Amino acid sequence: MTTSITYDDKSVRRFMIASIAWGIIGMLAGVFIATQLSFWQMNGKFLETLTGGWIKGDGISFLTFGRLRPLHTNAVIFAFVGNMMFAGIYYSTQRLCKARMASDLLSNIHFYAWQLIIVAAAITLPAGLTRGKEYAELIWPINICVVLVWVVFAVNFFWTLAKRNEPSLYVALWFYIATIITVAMLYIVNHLSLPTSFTHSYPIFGGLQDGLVQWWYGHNAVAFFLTTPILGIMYYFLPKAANRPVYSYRLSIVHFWSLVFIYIWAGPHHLLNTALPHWLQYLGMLFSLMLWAPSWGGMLNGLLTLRGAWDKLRTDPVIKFLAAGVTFYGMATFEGPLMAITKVNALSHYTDWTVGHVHSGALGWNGMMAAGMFYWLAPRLWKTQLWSKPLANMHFWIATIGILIYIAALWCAGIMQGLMLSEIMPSGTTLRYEFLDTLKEIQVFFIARAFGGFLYLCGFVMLAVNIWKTARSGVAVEETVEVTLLEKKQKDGMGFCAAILNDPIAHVILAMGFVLLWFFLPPHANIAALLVAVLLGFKAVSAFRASNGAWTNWHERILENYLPFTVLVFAAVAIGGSVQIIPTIIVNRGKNIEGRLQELYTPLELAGRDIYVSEGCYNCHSQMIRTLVPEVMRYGRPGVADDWSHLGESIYDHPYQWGSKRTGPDLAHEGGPIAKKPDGTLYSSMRVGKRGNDWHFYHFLDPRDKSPGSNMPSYWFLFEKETDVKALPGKIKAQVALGVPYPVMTDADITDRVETQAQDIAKSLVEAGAYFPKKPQLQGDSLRNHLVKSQGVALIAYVQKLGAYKNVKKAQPAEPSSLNPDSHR
Amino acid sequence: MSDFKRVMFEDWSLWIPMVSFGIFFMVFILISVRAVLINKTETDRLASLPLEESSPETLNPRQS
Repeated sequence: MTTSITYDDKSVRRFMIASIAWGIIGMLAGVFIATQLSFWQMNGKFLETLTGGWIKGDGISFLTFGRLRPLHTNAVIFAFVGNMMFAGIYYSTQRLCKARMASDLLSNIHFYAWQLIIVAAAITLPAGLTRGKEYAELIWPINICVVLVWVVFAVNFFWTLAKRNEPSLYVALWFYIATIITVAMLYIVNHLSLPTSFTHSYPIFGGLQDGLVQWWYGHNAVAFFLTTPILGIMYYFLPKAANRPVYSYRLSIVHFWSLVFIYIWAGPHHLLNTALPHWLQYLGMLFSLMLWAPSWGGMLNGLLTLRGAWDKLRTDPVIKFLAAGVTFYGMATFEGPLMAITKVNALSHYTDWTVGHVHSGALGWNGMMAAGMFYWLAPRLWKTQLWSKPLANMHFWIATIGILIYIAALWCAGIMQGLMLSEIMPSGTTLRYEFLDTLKEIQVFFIARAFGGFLYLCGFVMLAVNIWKTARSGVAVEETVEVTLLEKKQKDGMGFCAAILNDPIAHVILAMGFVLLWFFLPPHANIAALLVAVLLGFKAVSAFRASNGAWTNWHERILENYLPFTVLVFAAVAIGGSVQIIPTIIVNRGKNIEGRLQELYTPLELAGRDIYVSEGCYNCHSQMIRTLVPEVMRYGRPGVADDWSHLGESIYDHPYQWGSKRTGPDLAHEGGPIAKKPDGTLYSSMRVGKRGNDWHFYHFLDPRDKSPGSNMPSYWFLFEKETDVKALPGKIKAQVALGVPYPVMTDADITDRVETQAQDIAKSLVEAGAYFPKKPQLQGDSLRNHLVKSQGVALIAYVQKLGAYKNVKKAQPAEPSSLNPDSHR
Repeated sequence: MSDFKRVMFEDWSLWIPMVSFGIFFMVFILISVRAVLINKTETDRLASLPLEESSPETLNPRQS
């Protein structure tokens, strides 16, 4: 029996147009913040010139690098690639399932709600509302919306699979399933937070634990948001464009399962040479290196699909873009594992090499694949010819040249800065270069990078014009096809129980799960888990004998049954995450703090920390001195032995702030001890670290005053805004709920402590002759009264606390136990 | 819990990456064997799924 199906191409068009529009905005933001690294005036001062002095200020809060960089990354990842991915998935899923998307209502909700989320992000991020974790900055109400919309997308997608009129699931659909399942898992776990207000929350994880969860998410956001859906798109659109089947379907099977199983383990390579336990570092490195195989298998499968069609490279812009995209995929996935080798990582991490690597993936892989797909789709969605092939070719070359300039510039910048920062004088006791020396040396590469990015943006504007003109020259159509209806028994005939309980392989997988439980469970429970694992092994053998060889079709049958397939994918990705995350959840409750336990922040310091997070300081400053000699020499404190960042020093940090890039120096040990009064007695809480309060005051007002050549924005506005003291009781209550052992404090206690510490700092500034250029009339007590309430003073208090710890004697052998809130004060 | 402490503090914790590698290797071998043994006619059919011309009956102008 046949029937006519009309595909929902309207949703495809919408997502495509949204992707192009948000892509231009995201890339424009990228070019803008790239110029900020060379010209500090781009943080707001330039508006003074543009408006003839109407807008004044050396820095404007919502235009600073720290606030705009998350806007750029989120726009490119979730708005540009997200919408592109949805366009590709909606188009190909319907054709591969020979069915219209299950629900127009869900498709509409998906599209409009996703765009609203992006608009909300575009408003909140420049406003300084952030969770302070990379690619996970959005505040908790938006997080909930993202999850709900993702569920809508998932329901619509799986419902369409259930309605399909093709028994088999093509490999592209496997990658889409992996994307939907894994992104949901990663997003939910990494965004678990405890709200303190409608716009603020603290992540439930802290310190090392938060870092590990963050990069489990961050790395796999690259894997399952920026890679697997695009691989699905590659497996569908490349054969369509080349008009020949994929080179090897067998290779695609190995590619899929290997990639899904390995990728999820590799997150710890973002934390090499840090306080992360060594076994996790080795795990991250090992699995990163193993990624070479499936990644290159996929790349070769893509490129070899073009066998016999290479001549089209000369004439067909679609093939040009897709071939270049797959090639960049191969290059980026070669470079990634290389950078995950511990010794290479010691050089590359925290430098622009990482930024270059990310952009070879984002611009080269995602951007080129998006362009190829859009040029292929537009004539079909509007039933016309592409408006201008020469313009598309021009786009290709300008984009390729732009990427190459961009990547080459950041290779040079990253490697040069990494080498300079680790260079030690022949005496072996001092470093050859100051941090600022290295920043000045790489300025030429920063300018080249901005130029390369600008070229790429120009190319993308050409694409927008081309697609717009193409749409105008045609008419929007919905494709209708005649398909043979499948009977229910012809698809999804394998029940859940049949898939999971009746096959040897399933038993083996369950047994593996129980072996893992044996590994981690406490005494007695672990023995029980081992026994279950052994029993499952026997059951597997007996099932194998009973099946009489029929089990060999298990995998093929799974490929025709989407629910068991989805469960299997979830099992594959959940194993890797469990092995990494569960032990660290336990360790954070233990005494494994490497002999140093973090001193708790005072209320004012906590307020300062929230300001540090809100301003996005983590985008340029790390708080992690790695276990490398030059780093300890550069950032360690004089007279303190082994002064790298120990695990316990940030154990109460929600969120962790180890960072991933140093445009400025590390701040982990910037702080110092409680300061002495002139009479020799100690202040109650005011500290002075490597630099005095007045140094930080003038540095925040104008960084170039204290650090000539610095590209840091001016933060004078922090001395105009007041600290939100009223919010502190709620925030401290939340911290206590998360396990930070604050003593019991009334609201009045908190206010008194804030007042005392702020007064001490403000007084020290006035006594040092502080002068606030924005309000020259303020002097003496009036200046002190003004500064006491300011966010700037709270931020100074926080910076002066960084790295404070108490020595804790390590038990031999160590015995884990829950922290007693009163035992470490 | 004491088992877990051994994982954190004793040298054999370094075996975890090796055990993980072993698990992956088992999966990799199983999948590779299945991929090699899969019926060629079936793989050819699956590989050509995107190319099945949907033979458009019509291209309807957009309704909305």
